Amino acid sequence: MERYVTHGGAAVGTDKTIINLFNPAATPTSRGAIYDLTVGSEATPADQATQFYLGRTTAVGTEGSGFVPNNIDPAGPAGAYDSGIGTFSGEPTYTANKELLDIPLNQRATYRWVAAPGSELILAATQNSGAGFKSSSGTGTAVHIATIFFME
Amino acid sequence: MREAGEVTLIDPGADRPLFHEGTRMCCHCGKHWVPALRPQDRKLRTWCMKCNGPVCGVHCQECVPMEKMLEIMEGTVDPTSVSVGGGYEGSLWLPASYS
Repeated sequence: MERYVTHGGAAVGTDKTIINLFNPAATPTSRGAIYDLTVGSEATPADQATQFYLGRTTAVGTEGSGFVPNNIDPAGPAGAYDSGIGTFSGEPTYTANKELLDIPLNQRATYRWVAAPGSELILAATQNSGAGFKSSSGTGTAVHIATIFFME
Repeated sequence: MREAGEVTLIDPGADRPLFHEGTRMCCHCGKHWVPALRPQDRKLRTWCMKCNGPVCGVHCQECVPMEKMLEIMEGTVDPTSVSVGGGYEGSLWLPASYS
């Protein structure tokens, strides 16, 4: 399996997606597996709280911009997955009760989660399905940056 | 119990991570969570006797193993043909080290 990375940033708030990782292929042949996620704020430190979560998505939203995930191996092939970043004008479709990570976070802190080998977050191989990382609620609007490492 | 991952929380004002803890993984939906640090914060996490693994909550009580769930999402398995139930020990509260 090849390893890839994508990253993006956006102001947080109520239902504000930061990254949507999805497979645009009509008939995907592989599943994605997220194994590392880091989130923190680039804004001036302040005591604001945000609830983030990583959830399964079944349809893409209207992304601010696109970012093709980079293969960590410079000589490796391009991957099938794509990512939407920036300020979304339309949210991706999240599957209810399929949150894969819940992250309550103070703006001053940086949070990193890493999967043990074999316990990655597996994504279904369906067109435009994947995972979205978003703030579901928050007391502030500071820009937060997230980085997601995954395999496919 | 084997940890499924780990979480690190870093504060710029601290000279070491504020928090460093292992996570558990739901054997049905794949969700990761950090075991509760304080007993009063504990949620209902249980155990699937079929999968022999932790379950993240009551919405995952029916035994649909993660591989099967992914196949249902991919449309290769008919969800009505999946046998569910019977693997959930709803009244089981795990000891603190298994939360």
